[in-house]
Amino acid sequence: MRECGLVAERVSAMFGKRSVVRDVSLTFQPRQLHAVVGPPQSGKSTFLRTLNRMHELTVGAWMTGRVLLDGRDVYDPAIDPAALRRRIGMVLPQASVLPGLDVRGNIAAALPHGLERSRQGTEVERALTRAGVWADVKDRLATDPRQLPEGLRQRLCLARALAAGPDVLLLDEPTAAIDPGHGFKFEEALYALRSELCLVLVTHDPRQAARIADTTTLLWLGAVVETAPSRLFFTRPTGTRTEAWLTGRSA
Amino acid sequence: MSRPVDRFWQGALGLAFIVGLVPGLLALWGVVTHGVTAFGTVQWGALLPAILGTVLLTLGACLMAVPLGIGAGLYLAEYPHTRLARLSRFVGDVLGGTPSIVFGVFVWGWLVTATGRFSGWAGSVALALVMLPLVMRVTESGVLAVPASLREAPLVLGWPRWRATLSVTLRAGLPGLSIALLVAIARVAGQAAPLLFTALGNPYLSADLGQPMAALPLTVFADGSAPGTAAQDRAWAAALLLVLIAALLGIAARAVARREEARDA
Repeated sequence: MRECGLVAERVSAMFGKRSVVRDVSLTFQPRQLHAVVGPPQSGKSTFLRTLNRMHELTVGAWMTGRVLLDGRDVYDPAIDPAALRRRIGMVLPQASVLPGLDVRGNIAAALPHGLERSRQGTEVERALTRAGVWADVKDRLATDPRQLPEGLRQRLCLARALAAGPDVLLLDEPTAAIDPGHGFKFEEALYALRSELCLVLVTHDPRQAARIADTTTLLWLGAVVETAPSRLFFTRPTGTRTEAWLTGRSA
Repeated sequence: MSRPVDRFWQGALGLAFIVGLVPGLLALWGVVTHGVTAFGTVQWGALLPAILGTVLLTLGACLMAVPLGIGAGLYLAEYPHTRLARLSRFVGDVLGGTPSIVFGVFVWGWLVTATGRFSGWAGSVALALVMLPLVMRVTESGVLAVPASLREAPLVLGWPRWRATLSVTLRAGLPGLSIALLVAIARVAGQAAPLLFTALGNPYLSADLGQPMAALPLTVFADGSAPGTAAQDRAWAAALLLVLIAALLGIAARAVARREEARDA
């Protein structure tokens, strides 16, 4: 497995003239889970979407700065955004299953194009196992995923993102819309994946970051307030704003 | 809102609905009663060319307008702020508000005079022009109704945009789109004006789209104003057939909608 880190250098993101992310520079280490936390509307998701070039798909959206993967700027005109998104995978906030495909088909849809049919079953099982969802769906592979609970569907989306074989996985509030039981299992899977991938988790829930993140960054009004190893961030924050946010004294 | 005012508004809206519905129901009742009577007396051999013609002309129009309209609608939904999209939306609005007879005159001047003959193809092209803006706009609104998270789901897997649009966005919007398409087909199947200068009509049974072609709306127009009960019966029977086609397509549209509701429940 390749060890890929991701570096954001002075990234600013705009919608038209409205600036949402301001001059953010962060390094995401391989085999680490880096949480980006902050209140709603702090630019967390927008920043995350600049990392895999999803931001540019929104009408009127643009950015400045650089995002480096293996030292190469992902905004280099020679880079195919679709190929890039296979290396920098993403789990969206809503559990969106692909229509007309059963559970197996949904995972297989993310496998690399041209993979032998005989290997597809193995790869689907591997992705589901890595996402910690194999035991829940192994007898329901031919089921329409729309009939499954929302939380289970979101865990399938994690498996689907893993099936694409990314080096970096971006997670945009992945447990915000699911029940605590599935949310906890989702977190368990992420915790296990830390040893394999570079994970970037956006969450508004500081407790979630405290439970599973190696490093945590607080974003406030689009700018970085503090970045620190999680054990320090949550016990001895250096900034007064961080402390105020963690203790709920600042909305 | 207080209860009496609420009741007043409910009553007023109900009354407006009934007043609006009555003329339509009376027209429908007239067509059904006259049409059922005419069904018993009409010579079906004389109506057969019009039935076949309507099917072929509508099919030809669908073959042209549906792929083009869906393609244009997808473009409008996926790239809404490009100059081409803004122009297409404007042209679509203008075409959508253009009287259908204008399309007939346009195709007559452009195709019929160029080829030197009235034909089923010319009729299909005229109907396709009527249908095109409808298909374009229902595709656009159908695709925009698909949740953004579902539209983005294949993109974050590294699918190219064209594949994501065709395999996921279009597929997710297909139930709504099918319903709208069935309604659009029913609407163009009943158009007489675009066919007057293009398909012209043909008393003989013909499946050759290169020749003038009969159609049910043309039969209603021509025989309805002709003297004699036989011609008038043909017109009433043709009118009832058009109503039945519209009803069948409407039932099909509702069946599609119910099936999707049951699947999502």
